[in-house]
Order: sequence, then structure tokens, then C-alpha cells
Amino acid sequence: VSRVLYLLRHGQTVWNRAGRHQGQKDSPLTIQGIAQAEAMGRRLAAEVGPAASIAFFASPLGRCRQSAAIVADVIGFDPEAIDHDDRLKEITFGRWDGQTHDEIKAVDRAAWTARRADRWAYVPAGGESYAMVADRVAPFIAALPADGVFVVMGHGSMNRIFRGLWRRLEPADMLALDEPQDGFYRLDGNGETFIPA
Amino acid sequence: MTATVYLIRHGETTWNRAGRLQGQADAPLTLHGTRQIRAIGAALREVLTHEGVDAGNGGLVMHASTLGRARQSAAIVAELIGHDYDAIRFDPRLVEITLGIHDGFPGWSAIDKAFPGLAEKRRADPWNFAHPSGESSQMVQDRVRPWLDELAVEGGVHLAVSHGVTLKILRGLYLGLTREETFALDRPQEAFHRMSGGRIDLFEVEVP
Repeated sequence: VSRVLYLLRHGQTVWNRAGRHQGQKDSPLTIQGIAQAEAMGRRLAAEVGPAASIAFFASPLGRCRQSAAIVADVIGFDPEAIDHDDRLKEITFGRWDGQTHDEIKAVDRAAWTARRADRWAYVPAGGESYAMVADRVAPFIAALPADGVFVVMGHGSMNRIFRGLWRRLEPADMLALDEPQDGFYRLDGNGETFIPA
Repeated sequence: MTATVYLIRHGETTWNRAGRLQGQADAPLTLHGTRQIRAIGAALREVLTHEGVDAGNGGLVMHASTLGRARQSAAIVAELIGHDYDAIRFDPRLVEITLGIHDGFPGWSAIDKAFPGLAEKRRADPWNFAHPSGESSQMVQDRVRPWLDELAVEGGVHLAVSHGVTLKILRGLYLGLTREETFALDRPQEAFHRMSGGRIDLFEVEVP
């Protein structure tokens, strides 16, 4: 019995480049972002072999749909068979979604400071805490079969929580993880390995 | 009409490839679709350079449909011609014709087979036919006409990223075509059009 999961992040978007928090808002991929998704697909194809035997999950947000479609094309997986799961969405910061740090601090400095003091549990107005994201990602992981090869296309913050739960890390260690777009993580029973694209 | 308007259809989507009818539902671009749009953006950049249009400094106004496949295509084109994505005018009048409750249906023959009564109505008056909660070609023409009129008043050079049916209706309107002639227009994804001086030019591109 073995379970291997490849965890990818969407390619660079217009708002990534502009330093805007996307949250559950969305912006399209840049040309570099498309190239990143294509490169991850090529590397993934070398890892998994025949794509027919994998299960492919993705966040339903546009940048993940687009990145997943490109990866699917490269590895020869039917994009219609991708399972878009709401539990894989990015963390939302409510009304801060779509704004830069400077814009948020200019309007909501006190709330921003309060969040910095307890990033794990702080719930922004209309948004989610990291703890709330963990509460929706954990059941997704728990429901995965014990055996198989899985691909997940997710987001920067959501993927940190995903990896942290997989590795049973403490919250502070989860939040310290990186958010690469030029490679992906291979998760298995022993932990994780970064695979550069 | 003093405006020059470049027209681009979004690149191939996973549903285009599968033959599904998108309407105002949405699907992402295929890898090939991203290459089509890159080829179009690069070819457009050459044409604009040749025409002395500086797309990065207010020399061109960019418009796009609000649907995801058009946003993604517009982002690629904007990057290639040096236009700021945040300066794009996303305009709901440029979205695709909607088939209402049938957006996303797997193809025309499937829809005609499932709803023979609707197929009969469509054949009897295709221009005014609308699926339940959907739009007719006339309704699409009614929403793009004011957009085109505004550009004529504004003048200058414009670029619009939109959709197959909507662009056919726009081109037909510009040339004063009949309904039958408008239906007979094509919907290329490896070419773009330019409306200027009462005529329409076609620019075909090579996709690697």
C-alpha cells in the first residue's frame, strides 16, 4: 500500500506580479506563469508515467483551472476529468482580497497589526483564518484512498497548510513553508521532497 | 467612423476542443490555445509597430469581455504589446452570446436531438431565436451596437478581445451585412481582424 501525492501551485498571475493578495478573487496567468505550468507538467509526466492511472484534483479558482488544464494537456490527462474541489480554494482575506499590503495597511492598519500578532487564528472581516483553512483541507486529505497516485493543483497559502497537515507540523512551522511556482512537492509516507521543474 | 478597431477571439479552450457550447459558461485555454494567443499577440505587436501605434503609452485603448477565457487571452496579448493589464476596459457588452439554461451543452447536434421543438424554432427564425433564458443574435447586436457607436465618437485605435459569435455579429454590423451573410462569417482562432475606414482586414498567424 502506498500513497503518493504531487502538490502543485498555479503559475504566476498578473496579481502575483503586481504584489496583490488574490485570496478568492482571481487574475489570469502571465506568460511566465503559463511557461511555469507547462514546465511543471513536463516534470510531472516524467514522475508519474501514464496519466490514466492518476486522480487529478484542483481548486476551482480560475488561475488553478487554467494551470491544471495546461498540466493536463502536457501529461495527457483529460481536463474534463479534473475534480475541482472547493476545499482546495485559497485562503480568503475577505475585503482585503485583491489589495496590496500597502493598500490594506492604509485603510485597516489596526486590523492588519492584530493579524500579524496571531496569523494562525486571526479572522479578517469576511475572510478566513489559517485555522479555518486547515479545518477544510484536513477532511480532503483524510478522504484520500490509502493507495494511489494523486495530483493536486492548489495555491500558495492553501498548499502550505496542506503540506503542514500532511507532515503533522505545528502551525508556526506550517506558516514558515515556501510557496514555489517553479517546481512542486512530492508527498508520501515519509514526508515531502521538492522537485524543481 | 474614425476609429480603428482590432478584433481578437480568445484562444482554443478545453470546451472548444471537446465541441461543448460555452456561451457565458467558461473553460480554460488549452496549451494550444495559449500558443495561438501568443502568436496573435506577437503578430499584432508587429502590425502596431508598423502603424506607429504605441500600445504602452495611451496609443491604444484595450477592451475585453469579462469571461475568464477572454481575460486570460487579453492578459497574454497585453503583455506582448506592452499594455497595462489594469488599464483594460472589461466590458460585459463583449461577452459571448448565451444559450441560457443550455450553456455548456455538449454540441449543436446533441442540443437539437434533446430539444427538437427548439431546433425547429431556431431553423424557422435563426436571427431572433433564443434558448430559454438565453440571447438571440438580435439581442447581441443590440448590446454591441452602442459599444461600436461609442468608439466611433471616441476615435483612435482600439483593441477588443471577445468571442466567436459576438465578433461575427460585430463585424456584420460594421460592414452592414445581411443576417445570412453575418451567419456565414468565420470565427478564426489563428487570425485577427482590423476594422478601419469601413473595411475589415484579416491577419492570419502561424502557430508553432
